[in-house]
Amino acid sequence: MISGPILALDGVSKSYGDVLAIDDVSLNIAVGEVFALIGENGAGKSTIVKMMSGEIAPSRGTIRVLGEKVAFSSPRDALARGISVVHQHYALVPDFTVAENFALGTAPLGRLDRSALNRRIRTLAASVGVEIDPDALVGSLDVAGQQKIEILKALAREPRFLILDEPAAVLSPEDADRLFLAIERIRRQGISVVLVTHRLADVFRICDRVAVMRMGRLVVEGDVTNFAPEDLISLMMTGERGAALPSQPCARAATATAARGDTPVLQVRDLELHRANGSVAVRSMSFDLAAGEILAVAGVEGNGQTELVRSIAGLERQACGSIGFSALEGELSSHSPQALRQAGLAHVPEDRIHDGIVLTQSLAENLLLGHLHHPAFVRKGVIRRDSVVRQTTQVIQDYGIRTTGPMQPIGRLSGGNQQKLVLAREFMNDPCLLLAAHPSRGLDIRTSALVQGLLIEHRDRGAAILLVSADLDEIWAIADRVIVLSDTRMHGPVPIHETTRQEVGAWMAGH
Amino acid sequence: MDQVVVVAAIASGIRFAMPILFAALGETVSEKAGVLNVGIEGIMLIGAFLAVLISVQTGSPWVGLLAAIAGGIALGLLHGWMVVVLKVDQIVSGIALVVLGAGLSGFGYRLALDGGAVRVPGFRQLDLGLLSHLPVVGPVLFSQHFLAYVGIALAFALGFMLRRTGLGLTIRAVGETPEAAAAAGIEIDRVRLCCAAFGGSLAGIGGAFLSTAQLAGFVENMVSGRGFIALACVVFSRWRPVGALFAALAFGIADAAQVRMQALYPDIPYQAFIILPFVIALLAMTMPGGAARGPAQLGRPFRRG
Repeated sequence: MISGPILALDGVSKSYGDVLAIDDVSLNIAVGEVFALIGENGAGKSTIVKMMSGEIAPSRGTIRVLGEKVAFSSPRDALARGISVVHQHYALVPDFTVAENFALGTAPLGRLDRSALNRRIRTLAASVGVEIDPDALVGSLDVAGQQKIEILKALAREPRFLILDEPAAVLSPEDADRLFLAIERIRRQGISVVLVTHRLADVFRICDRVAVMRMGRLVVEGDVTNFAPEDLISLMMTGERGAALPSQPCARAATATAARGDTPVLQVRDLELHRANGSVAVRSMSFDLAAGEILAVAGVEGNGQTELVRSIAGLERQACGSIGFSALEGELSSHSPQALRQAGLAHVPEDRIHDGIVLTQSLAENLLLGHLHHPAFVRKGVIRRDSVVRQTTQVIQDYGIRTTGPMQPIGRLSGGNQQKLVLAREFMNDPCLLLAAHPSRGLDIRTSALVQGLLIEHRDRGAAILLVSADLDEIWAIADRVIVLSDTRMHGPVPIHETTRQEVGAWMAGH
Repeated sequence: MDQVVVVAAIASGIRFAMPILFAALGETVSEKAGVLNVGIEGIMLIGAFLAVLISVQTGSPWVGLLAAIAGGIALGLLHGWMVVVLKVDQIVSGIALVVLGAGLSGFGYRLALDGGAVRVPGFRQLDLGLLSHLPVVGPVLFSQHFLAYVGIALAFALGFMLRRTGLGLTIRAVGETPEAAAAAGIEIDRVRLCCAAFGGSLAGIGGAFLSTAQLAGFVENMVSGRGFIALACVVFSRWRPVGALFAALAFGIADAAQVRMQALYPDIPYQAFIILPFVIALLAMTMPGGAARGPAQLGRPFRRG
């Protein structure tokens, strides 16, 4: 048996330009242990995984495999050293059968020996205690089934070291149980497993040791038995164990409540949401959103926030349940996104680059998007260039956008300045319902404060705002009430001043 | 029409189908890997010209065929280089290839052969003795050119390759989900370049068949739309080589029939007959099967990361 760590990171750092994504991290992973790497979004977990798997090279520090210093130049090098990764996004061909996906890249170019292939898949599956039909079409399988194939594919390469990136995040509790049993069997085969997760339940279920990352640094590393769930939550969020998390009540909440109207602007009842791959994201959620209030949706990403916002924006249809918008008659999904916008809905999308702006077009043209019916900008189908440019110049001044002028392609601007234009556009018609998905993500402190100030300003003017955010600081700073999505369930809504960060953190972690 | 005319139409229809079949088979493989080549018309013209030129100079249609294959590979690689390496729009590069092929073959023909008629040592029809003299089946099945049998066998072989071999799996994955194929360690661009070259080589054979087996000699723009009919065959067959065989046969027989009908019905303007295969192609596209989904990444360049 080999002694010493199978994989060791020694003082590893990674910087992108001026930004230090990973700062001096050292980790040792022993043979046959299940090691948890936890942290909030953006803590640096995936950068660590990418370095372990050879996708990127560290800027400083060394990586050792079985004591030997290595410099991976591609995932292939890492594979050759016995390091396999199961990514969050599966690399499968949906039109192929399980067996065909399995054979891809490993089978010889000649005739496929399907019966041998099927036997091999069944043997591998049995070795970790799962069942799989080699002839099933991958596109017809659910997430859990597709994940099984990815794990089996990784195991087929006979790795010594298996990295699972957020494996349980998208699974139902039953499927997660099966996954954990399989991991247990993989460990017994002497394979080390690194589990990247932000679900604490997973850590205490199957992991031997845990490392907590926060803002690119390793906060702590140790045996799981040395920690209580509260410790880990506190470490993930503040970097200190047992820190008293600030939970002062929101001073403005009382005044805001007074401004609320009687009928809610948005009424959500028994909503069931499915992910694009068909899995259940949220089983049932109901809430009201009143005028003059900010309702925050907290939770680890991928728990249905995206689907919720897109459903309310009219961009996709919920699986079950109803959404009512006070400005329009009947079920919200019976109206087109354009009708919703004209009725006063505004949407700051989560994915700014793909859904928010057209990179190659100018600021003025981007400001015009969604306002093409506005008589001030378009008359008889012809764009009134002067008035659009004037309006854009005004917006550039009001929002302090750093640009060479209204005709500059928006793709040249920094993310924060792009986001300011998106907000300006969405606020232009004084919406009565604003959906803001991660509006200040990736922005510097000053711009974040500006964005939050704008949300408060419009809330006080009577707008109903649904704020999706992964940042508890932001939620505590501006929201009136909060709901948490985790494990297909909805917690809350609860007024901010009646809850604590610990409680919300525990809900997020699925407790 | 009496039986003799029908049998002759079918027999020559098979011959008419072959240039389309070769081009369509090559295009099927190329498109399966995600490379759309609308320029096969141009490659066929180059193939037709090179086959005539080299056969005349060497006296052997086989050497001419090799030259056509080499020319096809060169143009297929040119297209591949443009769209796979340089990520040029596939339609634009393909159309450039049509123009390039027409220009080069026409110019080369005038330059090398003075644009005049030449006696081409073409492929002869096989004579299988007794078999070839059987009524009906003799002329239809046993009196074709050797290359025609190669083409039909190739359709089945490529069908098997795409469905049942590791190579086929690789090609399909590259056209369907290149990210997954890349993650499995497959070099996407290399596979696509090879498939583009293979498609070009078969289009070259198609052109050579046209000028040295179906006809005997080169005329400017002699391919006259067969490259585009081949593209239609690929879609109509839902990217299945054996399906492409039947689609090509349908067009070939329609083409052969229209030639005969021109003579039978002199009152009808002959143009009405000439467009017949194209009308069939258009109608075929509107049928339910014609709208089937092709390779998901057809026409899209692969960019890492």
